Amino acid sequence: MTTHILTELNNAISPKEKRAAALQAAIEEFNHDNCHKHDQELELQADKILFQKISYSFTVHKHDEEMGMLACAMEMVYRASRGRVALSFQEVQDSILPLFVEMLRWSSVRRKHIIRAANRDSQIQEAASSAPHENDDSEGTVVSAGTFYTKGVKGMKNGDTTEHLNGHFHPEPSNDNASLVSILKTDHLAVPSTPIRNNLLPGLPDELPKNVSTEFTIECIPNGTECISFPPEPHSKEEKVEDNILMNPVRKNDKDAQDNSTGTASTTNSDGTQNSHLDGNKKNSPSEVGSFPDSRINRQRQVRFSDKVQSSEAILPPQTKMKPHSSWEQNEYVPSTEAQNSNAEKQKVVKKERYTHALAVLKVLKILRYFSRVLSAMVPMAHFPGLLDELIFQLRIRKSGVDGMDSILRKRQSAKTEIDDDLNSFKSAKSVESIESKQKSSQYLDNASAARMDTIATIVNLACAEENKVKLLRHPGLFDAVIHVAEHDVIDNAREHASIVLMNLALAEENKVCYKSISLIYVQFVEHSFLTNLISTGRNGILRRFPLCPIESLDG
Amino acid sequence: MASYDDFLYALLNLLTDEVINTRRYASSTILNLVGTPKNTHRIASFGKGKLLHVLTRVLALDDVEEVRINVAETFFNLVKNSTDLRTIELIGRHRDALSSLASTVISDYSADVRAYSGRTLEWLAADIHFGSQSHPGLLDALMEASQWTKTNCIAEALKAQASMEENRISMVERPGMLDTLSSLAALHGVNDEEVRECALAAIERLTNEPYVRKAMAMHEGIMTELTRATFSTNNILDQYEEHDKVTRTLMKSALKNLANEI
Repeated sequence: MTTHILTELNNAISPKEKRAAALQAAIEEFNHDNCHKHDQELELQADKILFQKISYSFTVHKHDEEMGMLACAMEMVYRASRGRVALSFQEVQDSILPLFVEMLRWSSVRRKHIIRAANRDSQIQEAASSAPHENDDSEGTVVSAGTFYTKGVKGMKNGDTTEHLNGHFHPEPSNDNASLVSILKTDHLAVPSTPIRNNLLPGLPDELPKNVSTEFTIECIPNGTECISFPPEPHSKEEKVEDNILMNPVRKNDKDAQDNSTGTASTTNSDGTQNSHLDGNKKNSPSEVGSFPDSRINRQRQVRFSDKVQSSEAILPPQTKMKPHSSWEQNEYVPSTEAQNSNAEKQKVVKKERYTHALAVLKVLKILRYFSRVLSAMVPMAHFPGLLDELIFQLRIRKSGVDGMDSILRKRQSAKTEIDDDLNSFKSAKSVESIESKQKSSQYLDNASAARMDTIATIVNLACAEENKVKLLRHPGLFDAVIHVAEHDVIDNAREHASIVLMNLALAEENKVCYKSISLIYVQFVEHSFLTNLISTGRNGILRRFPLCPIESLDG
Repeated sequence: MASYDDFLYALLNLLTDEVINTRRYASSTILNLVGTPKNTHRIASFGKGKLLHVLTRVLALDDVEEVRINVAETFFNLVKNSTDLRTIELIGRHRDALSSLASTVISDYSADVRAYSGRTLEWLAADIHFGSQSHPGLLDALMEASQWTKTNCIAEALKAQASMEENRISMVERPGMLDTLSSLAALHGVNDEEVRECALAAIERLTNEPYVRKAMAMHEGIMTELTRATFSTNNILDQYEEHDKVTRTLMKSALKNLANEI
């Protein structure tokens, strides 16, 4: 029966109804708690089938309900025994962890956070750029979202926030090609600190847009974080076209074809800066989609569409969009009110479609929790680039209102504890606490809380491995996030889990003693006389290139 | 980790969390941290003694035995691993720490908690002496904890205090101290031999101080215990003293010291 269902699921590709029916049958089959049966399902390679489906679904329509159902089915399958999960993890870890990280990164809350951070960064950079510099033609800029610091090689200009969108620097806006991205991603993880160039990548198309920069660097920053830059997430051809239609239904200009045919995804503004995402986005009209006789041009259009999908225009609210710079946009393009309204609605749809389905995010966290229970998976997971950052972010998500109230309650409680010095009042405080805890326990577990629970449980498991203890403590932001959960979380179990994490981390001898403040190391580093010039000279100086290192946050 | 303020503040909250397991893990965490000598002063002084205060209260009041054991062991490690006398002084000067330890020694139903608390007082007695602001508090705590005679921790602590010349006058002048010593010396249980020996050793060392001999000679309990063996009604040494030459030597030595005052 299971074999038949899995075969059906594997073969169900089109139409969508067929896929949905196969998936529904699979979910009904997998939804049980029989460990041995789940082992058998894994033996029948249900994990790999579902992984393929999820990969495809994530690429094509990540917000679709199908995505959530697939993740749901996969979570069910992984309710197997630890030994079998370990075996499965060993087989799929190289593929599944990058996918999961990307899925988490493309959750709606995460994207908004990244965009906010990107906006902040751009504001800071704009403010910084207003000051005179000795050398303005910088080769790269370090951008930061969360705890990632990646350096692009060329092409970033002040105020161009689109490169920040993924929490990483996207080398150039027009770099998107599905095969290119997938290859780049794979090679990224395996080949650190080496620029990856087109000619080193087999399977790439012969010609790429000239301004595509495929140089990615993994670099070491003062606080020791691995830095790896990912190119933007690829999108399927169909979705790209669809997105384009939704985004730009009314723009038609003969110049578009002319511009597109040049094969460049970025346009040059009057001031000479590149503004490729938005311009390319605005210049593509639906009537022109697929109308190019030349396949090369067609592919380049796809590249451009993909850039648009990744660009801030699709995500940022309208008021934050960058103004068009080219003369034709400023003078000739005046959309009607209706068109604007429909545009706004469609933009909302597009925005929504660009995020990973919420259920899928929850289930991915659950699967990660299952993986983290496996001894052999603890170390690879903790050291996988980006995974801890996504977990940290999940720890910080709160359902608005609940956490604030809880925080107030807990602060009041702690204040009461401070004021009441005598032992009797301590008892009274405890009794008040118990009443409050009863009230709190009645609160339902919202999605954010469920995600947080799975996340902190995953971190608990990761912290069990000796090799991970130092790594976890020193990972920027993780310790703070765990402390925050321990102190303020509304859920009792979350606080309990956080206390286990703290206990596990405190078990490591190296962690017990106060580790040297990273800011101190930083200061010592930058105070070295040999580096003085390097630091202080313009935008290439270290202080310029690492403007957002959260060194203060780790200062003990 | 111990250098991280937010972390220690979080531990403060977790130690009083309503969830039992959370308190267990938090207490275990802090126990792990004080296992490192470098952290002891940091933890004892954190938040102007807030952490110490919470630990004291948890030790006295927490319902969960494991939490209290962890905290008692934390206190023990704090004192034992401390290389900085300021840490000892911080604990000694805390308003409730010594009294809580003493009351725990005699009242806690967990043998481990009692043992760790008693050993903590013993280690404190080795470091706190006359001249310290916390010395009177320590003597009071030792007197209170002396009711615990299952182990010889407290008696050893008194002996250690009496070994230091500068402590002797303050000990004898402390109300109740001679009563405490005499009651410990009066123990004749099967398992009290070590405690009695320690008490008699403390008495003997106190008699080495000329200024306190008169007060000791005037004390009924002390004189009774010192003279009991020698002048027992049947003129036979106590059965527990027959083989205890050390005790007899101590008693005789003490009596010799007090002879001029008798």
